[in-house]
Amino acid sequence: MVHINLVEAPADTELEVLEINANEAIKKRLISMGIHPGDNVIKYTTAPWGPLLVKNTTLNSSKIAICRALASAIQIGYNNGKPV
Amino acid sequence: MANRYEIALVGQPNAGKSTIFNVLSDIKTHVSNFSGTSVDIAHSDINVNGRTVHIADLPGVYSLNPGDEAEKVTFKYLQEEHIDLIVNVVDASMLSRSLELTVELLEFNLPIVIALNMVDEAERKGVKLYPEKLEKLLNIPVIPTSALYGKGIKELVEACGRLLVHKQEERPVIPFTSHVEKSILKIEECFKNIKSSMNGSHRFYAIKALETPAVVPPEMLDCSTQTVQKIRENLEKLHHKDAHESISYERHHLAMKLMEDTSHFIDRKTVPLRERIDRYLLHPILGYFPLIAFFLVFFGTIYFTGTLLESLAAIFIDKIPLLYNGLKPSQPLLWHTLEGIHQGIDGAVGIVLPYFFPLIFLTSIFEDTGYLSRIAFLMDGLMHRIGLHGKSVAPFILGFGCTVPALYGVRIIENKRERELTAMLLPFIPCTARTSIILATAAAMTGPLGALLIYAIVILVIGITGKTLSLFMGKPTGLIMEIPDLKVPSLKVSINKTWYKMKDFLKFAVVFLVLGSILMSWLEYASVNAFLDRLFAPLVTSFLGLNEKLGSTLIYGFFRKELVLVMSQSAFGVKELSAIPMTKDQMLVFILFVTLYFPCFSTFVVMWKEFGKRVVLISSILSVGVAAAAAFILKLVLI
Repeated sequence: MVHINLVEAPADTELEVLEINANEAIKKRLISMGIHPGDNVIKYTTAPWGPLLVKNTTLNSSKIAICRALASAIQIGYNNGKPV
Repeated sequence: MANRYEIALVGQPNAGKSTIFNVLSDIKTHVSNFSGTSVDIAHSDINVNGRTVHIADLPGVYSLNPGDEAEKVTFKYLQEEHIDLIVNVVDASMLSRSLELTVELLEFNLPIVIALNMVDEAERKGVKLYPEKLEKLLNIPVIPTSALYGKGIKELVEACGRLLVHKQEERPVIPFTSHVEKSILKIEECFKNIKSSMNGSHRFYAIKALETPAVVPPEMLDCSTQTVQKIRENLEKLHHKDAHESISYERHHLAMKLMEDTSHFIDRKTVPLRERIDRYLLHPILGYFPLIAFFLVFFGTIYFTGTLLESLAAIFIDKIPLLYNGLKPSQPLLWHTLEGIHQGIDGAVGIVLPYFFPLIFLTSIFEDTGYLSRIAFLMDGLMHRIGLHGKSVAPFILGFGCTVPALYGVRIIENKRERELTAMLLPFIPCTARTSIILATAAAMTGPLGALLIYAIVILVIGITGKTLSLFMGKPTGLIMEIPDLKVPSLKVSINKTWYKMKDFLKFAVVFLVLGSILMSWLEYASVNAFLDRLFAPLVTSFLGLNEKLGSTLIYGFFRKELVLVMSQSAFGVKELSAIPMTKDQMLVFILFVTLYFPCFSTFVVMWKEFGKRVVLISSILSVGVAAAAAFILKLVLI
């Protein structure tokens, strides 16, 4: 199992959100929009620039754009292309 | 008003609240504040079983933990206003996330009905729904709707009618897991003898005391701060995480359980067409092609439709003076009054409306497709370079319509720094009035290349000013933004929205323009213009190398920018723009200055209201300085 942040995570792979290392306001915002620890997400972006595109697959919600600085605060885990 | 029922529409952003509101308002008796921005409360009175019911469409909220300004507006309304019934608009295609807000609203404990909206969209995404199961589990009415096509609205109105007459006495209390529930009950016990003037149950505030203490009425927190603190610490020790996280976990699981019990997902093998289109639109390289095409089509259509409508309007408006021209020698004051009215109508109907109409119609359509947030996503990197992020793109695009709603649109940005910076840059975006000035002069004198030059300089000016300002304003914060699913816009809804905005414009702007033009015509009669011209001569003549007569037009332009052209014509005593005795280059310098200088009167007032006098003052000084500098540099280059 690999523990890395969302920026480093591979695209088009199902990932599990483990933890958000941000202040309370940002944590609340991300969680309420569907970036919830324990849920699975898919990252769509492959380009090394611009914000990341993430979709919560557990909730089948719409896509969320997150800038790289905030995305690097989101810890995720995955295992051989499968979420932990 | 005691005799009137009050309904509040509450839901997450993009759940289709405004669409439900628009359909409901179709049976209206009165509509006001139709700003078209979902960051302001829209109001409408509708008729339900012969009774007037007032509906407030509150800005979308993800949760009742207010983060951005729009969420604060909604939360304040829920806490402080009299509400007989909440219509909770739930996005059926994202049931679990939407139900988290429903759980919170049930904690708030006001009479409530669920409009399970976008059921067709959910089915398209492969979600099979069982609304009757949800109704049974929650013990509140659940009405499936598809507001865009008017489905289920009649049933929703009937359900509202029933609930307003036969009050819903009780809502279900959805218990949390043991530790959390015990903590909540203990805090609720502390609050039990405290009466608050604010809406919201004791249980709701007991939960909020653990989750977001800032929203709990002070009289509750004051008498129990220490107890609450102790309970929170205990809970955090037991769960090894912040109390707010424990609460959000609980709601998340409750909502997921509700979703699992009331719907099921049909797995599909193929990627739907809209999803495939979306991947292209959001592609980090290919996405820029449709983006450029969008801007070309958007402004191209406005330019061509605008010039066509303008020439059609001119046929009639230019004939008006024939009716009163004979009065000039015998009754000069009356002639000036009538001339003022004519100029006012010419400004509104002849110059602005032709461009305003296609602009708001196209904006309405594109707003509904969800493409605006894709533009924001693609432009985020560029916006970072001027110290902002992608979310500022939406107010900027609205700014091409009118700076005033764009200023309200700034509320969707969470951070004060970005809000203020966006607000200070907004007056530089050419609104409809200034677009019509740029395009009208382009048609008459400078040609389309002249218009493109002005736009290019304006974009450059915004970039440089933004970058410079952001150096003084600390580090920018990051972007978190939902990209709603692509939707096919409804022509009917777009036409309705356009119609209301046009009516609003005709009602207020025309009166203002006509009165303003009469006043200015009188000033002209009283020969004040010569004095104003001399006052501005150092700037207009010495600095920018333009004719002194243009000085007074700048004062009129403060009230309404479009008056600059009308007043320039009359300052030189000519009937057509092309007859103004200025070279093409001088015209470009003048138009650039007019586009950038000083926020107009309405912008000035709204900016003061929204951001305070500090921002207004900086913005005013900044815009005059930037306009003068930009026009001066252009003069050096051209003349």
